[in-house]
Amino acid sequence: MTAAKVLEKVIESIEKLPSPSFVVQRIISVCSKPDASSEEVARALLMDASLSARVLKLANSAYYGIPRKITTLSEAVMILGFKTVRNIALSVFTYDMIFKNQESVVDRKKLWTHFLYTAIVSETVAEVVGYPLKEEVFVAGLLHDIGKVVYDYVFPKLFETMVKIAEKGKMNMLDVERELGMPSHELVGKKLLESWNFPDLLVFSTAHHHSVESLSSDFFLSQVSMVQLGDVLANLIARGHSFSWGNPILSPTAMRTLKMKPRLISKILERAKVKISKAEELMEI
Amino acid sequence: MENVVRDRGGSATSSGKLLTLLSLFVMEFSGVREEGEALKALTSVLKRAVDVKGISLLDQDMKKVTGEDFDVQRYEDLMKWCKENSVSTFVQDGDHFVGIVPVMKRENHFGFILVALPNQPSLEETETFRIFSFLAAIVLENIKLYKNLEETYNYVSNIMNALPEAIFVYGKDGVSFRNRRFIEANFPDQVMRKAFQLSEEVLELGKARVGEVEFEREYYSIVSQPLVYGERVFALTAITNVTATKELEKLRQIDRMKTEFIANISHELRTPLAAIKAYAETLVNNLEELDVETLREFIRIILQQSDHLEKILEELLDFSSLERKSLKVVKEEVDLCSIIGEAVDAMKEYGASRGVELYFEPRVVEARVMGDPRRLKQVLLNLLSNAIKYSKEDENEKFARVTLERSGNGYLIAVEDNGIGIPESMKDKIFEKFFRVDSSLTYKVPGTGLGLTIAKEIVEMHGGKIWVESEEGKGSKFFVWIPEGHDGG
Repeated sequence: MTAAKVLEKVIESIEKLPSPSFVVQRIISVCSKPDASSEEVARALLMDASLSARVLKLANSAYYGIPRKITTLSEAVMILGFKTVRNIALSVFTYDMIFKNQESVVDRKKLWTHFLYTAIVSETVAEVVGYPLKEEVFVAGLLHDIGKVVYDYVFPKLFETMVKIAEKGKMNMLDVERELGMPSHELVGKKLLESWNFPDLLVFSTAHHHSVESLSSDFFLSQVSMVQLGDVLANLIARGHSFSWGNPILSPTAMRTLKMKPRLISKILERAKVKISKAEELMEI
Repeated sequence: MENVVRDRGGSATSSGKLLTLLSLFVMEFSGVREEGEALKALTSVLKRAVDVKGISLLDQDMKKVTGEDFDVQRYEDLMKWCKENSVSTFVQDGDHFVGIVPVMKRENHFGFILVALPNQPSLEETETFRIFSFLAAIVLENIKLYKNLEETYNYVSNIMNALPEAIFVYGKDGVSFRNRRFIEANFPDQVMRKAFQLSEEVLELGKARVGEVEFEREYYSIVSQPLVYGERVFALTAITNVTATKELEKLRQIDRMKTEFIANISHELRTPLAAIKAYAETLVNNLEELDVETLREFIRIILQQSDHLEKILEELLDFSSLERKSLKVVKEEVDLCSIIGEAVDAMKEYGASRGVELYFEPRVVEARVMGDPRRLKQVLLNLLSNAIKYSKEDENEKFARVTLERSGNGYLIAVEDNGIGIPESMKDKIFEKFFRVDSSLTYKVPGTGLGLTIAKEIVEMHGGKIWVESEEGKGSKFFVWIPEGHDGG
């Protein structure tokens, strides 16, 4: 199969993948509406009782550490903020998507850990470099490797082989894909998010988290750079959980864009580790 | 229904609103110089952006700075949480809603804003609080940095101003810094010209330059060195008035000379004394055996040496009265011709003993002045004895010639010799006390080193002048000018 044909097959299969439910889509859209109220978000969430319960549980988790008990979704939105509640809902959805796959034979817990860690570290990068919309960076980090989930659905056996090659050969997943003549997980993930009509930032950060330098939009350069750094650092914290075993590569473009210095990187790592230590409840949601 | 209306008013107007708010922010903050002003400007912008019932500003310690009163204790837990996580939050409190917005950028926390809202905040409103408090934090951080910078500048300026040196910094565009000492010193133009010249040289050569200027008996030392600041080069120039140091150096030299003088004078006294003692002892022990001729010779030597001793002692006495400013001249009408004649006659024998011929060539018949004949003769004797003492050993026709002529409203005496002469660099110093051209401790030529000092004093007490022209190895010519009628001194 040529790369083009594989991609064709992937795109065909995307329709069969679990897609964000109406509720999740509604939440995403409400949370990008300037005049949305917390009531509105709560109403949208309440349409899925299970999702509502899980969101409320996570909102009260140690990771957020709110000094008060949150009892209503509306309260959760006001205290944690619209974007954070949206991120929780999206995390629940992503978690479900990873684990709903009946055919999968890879260690998906590891993959979820990598998703979560990348989200947390990317958000920490945003904090340290002083980017105010850090919740957007969190969700960009969360979804950056969604292409791997697509592979796990479309070619579960092949994906397992790829994971093994990467581990044995101490290779990065991107290189395994290239050697096998497969489209990159960047590209596959991008196609998925595009088909879901997700915000541009998420599409760009998924498509370019290994190739910041070829990003066509300067508007998202900084944010994608944060995800790039978040991905590399998350892979350092939990080695191989991304199924990549090669040397982590810090993008010079990203480093330059963020004016990153070694001192700042150690600060990010320190902070992210503290956050991760509180994120246990997010590991199984 | 309500939602539809609100939806229609959505993004298009909200981006327009955001631009308006940003413009307001820029306007409110452009004049801000103080932390308090910045926080007030922030509340002013937020009040216009969001429908608020009340707004209050708190400092880092949750103490109110300005605005309405809030029951802060009720929100303390959330405020801490907001600060730790650098997030803002909103809670329902009875019939209204309270927003807690920390004003912070990265780790720098400047305070909190508390707002009371009548309705549940919309997404836009929560984001507005967040973005503007963030922008305000940047302004506050800059104010803080600027203040730090100012403090650092003041600190360094204080150090610079406390320095005992007068300092200025000179660059291509002129002087860019002056310390207080420099401004107060108000250096004369001559000094500044030299300082600028050295600074220019530093800019050109990139190397340190030093210089010294003397102006009206004050000495200035100038040190200029390169000061690289970023890509630009300046000259850091320090001017110090070193007059006091110079004076001190002079005093130290005089002290050294005094020590040498004492060593020298002891030697001077011992020589004739030893001779007197030796001859006297010989006379006591061998009086019967000596013939009259030898006896006369011995006694003559003893007398001669006693004269010499007496002369030295007189010089010392003169010097000490000169030091005590009690040297006296008793003036009467005298004829310089006869005084010079007497002096030349008195020295003839001494001259002959050293093979030096003495001449006196008056060009006037009479030279009447008001003066102390004994003192004036003393000056002549000193000059002649020097001329004889410092004659050249290998010279065939050694001489000392005295001339006397009318000059201005007085008379000019010149004592010329073809002796060893005086080096150019020593000419000014020979009239200073204790000074001798040869290092006094070599004793090659006897003398106290006081003669010319005393001579100068005497001449000046007559309102006259003494100076010398000389060429090393060829001879010297001392001039003494005495005014005709001087009543002073």
